[in-house]
This record gives sequence, C-alpha cells and structure tokens, in this order.
Amino acid sequence: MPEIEFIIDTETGKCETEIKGIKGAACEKVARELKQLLGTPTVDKKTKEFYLKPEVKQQIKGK
Amino acid sequence: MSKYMSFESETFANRELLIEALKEMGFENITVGTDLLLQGYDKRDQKVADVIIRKATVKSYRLLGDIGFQKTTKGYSLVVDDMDLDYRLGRDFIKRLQTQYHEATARKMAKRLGGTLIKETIGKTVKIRVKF
Repeated sequence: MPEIEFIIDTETGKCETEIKGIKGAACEKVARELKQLLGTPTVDKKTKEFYLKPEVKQQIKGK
Repeated sequence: MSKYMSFESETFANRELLIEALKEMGFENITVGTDLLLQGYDKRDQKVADVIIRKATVKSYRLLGDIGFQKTTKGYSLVVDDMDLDYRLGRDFIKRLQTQYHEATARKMAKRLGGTLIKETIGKTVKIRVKF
C-alpha cells in the first residue's frame, strides 16, 4: 500500500517526507503536490525504487 | 521508498493551510486581504501584510502589535514586533507554527488522496503516515 511518511521535528520545525510504494511518474505527481503545499525542499532526492518501472503483466493469448 | 524530501522553510506556501495552522494554535480571528496596514508599529516604520491577527483579538498575549503574514514569491512570511516575539509569543512561535502547518499539510494530502492518517508522537518528533 503506498504511503507518505511525515517526520516533523517540533524543536527545529523541520519536516522530512518520504513517499513510499509508488514508482516513476505517479511518485513525481505526489511529490509535486507536496511541494505546492510545503514550498521548495532543501533536500530532494529520488531513491532506488523511483527508477523501477511499474509492473506490466503481459498476456499471450493462444489462437 | 521512492522519494525523500526535507522542508525547513519559515515561509508558508499555502494560505489556507497557514490559516488552519493558526487556528490550531488558538488564533480564531484572522483577517485576509491585500497589503493591510498593521497596527501597533512605529508610524515611521509602518508594515503591511496579507494575513493578519489583530492584537485586539488576542487578549491572552497582550501584544504590542498585530501579527501579520506578508505574501512573497516563496509564500507567506511572518511580520511581528520583536518584543512580542521575545516576551509574549515566545521565540519558538515560528517552530510551533511550522509544526501545525506540516500537520495540516498531512491532513490535506490524506483528504486529496482519499487516504487514512496515522499520527504518533515520540518525544519531540511527530510522525504521520498517510496511507492511500
């Protein structure tokens, strides 16, 4: 199940976010929405999962 | 994990969330406009803002001046009397506001994505998971 994790440090006001379980363009769309609300991030990095291609199941139909 | 971002800005990008955060902090009377004149400042150094909490509506703090937020290219930036910040609101005012703003953002994202929100507080850290 996809999720966004927010870790808020109440002493510094810093907010770290991790978008998990979404790949590629769908992840970028959620990230864009977060930036619209939170402004420009000081750190913005893609992780390994980002580069994985969404799974596509191929069906081969027999004649 | 697919994307990590960190936000530390003391300006607030979204007006609706800023107002929600201020209300969570107990400021119920908030005025919205454009370049509204702030009261309680030296006439030689008058200040304007776009989101205002009038000092008269905040009896618990006995403020010297209005609290304002001026719209900039990066978002809404705090305008406040230094004496109010040091002796009435407290120097951590902006940190408390940031915390409320970030929580309001999590609620907004949960609503947008039709997800559920789980909040956990561990010491001085608030952890929120939005599952969708």
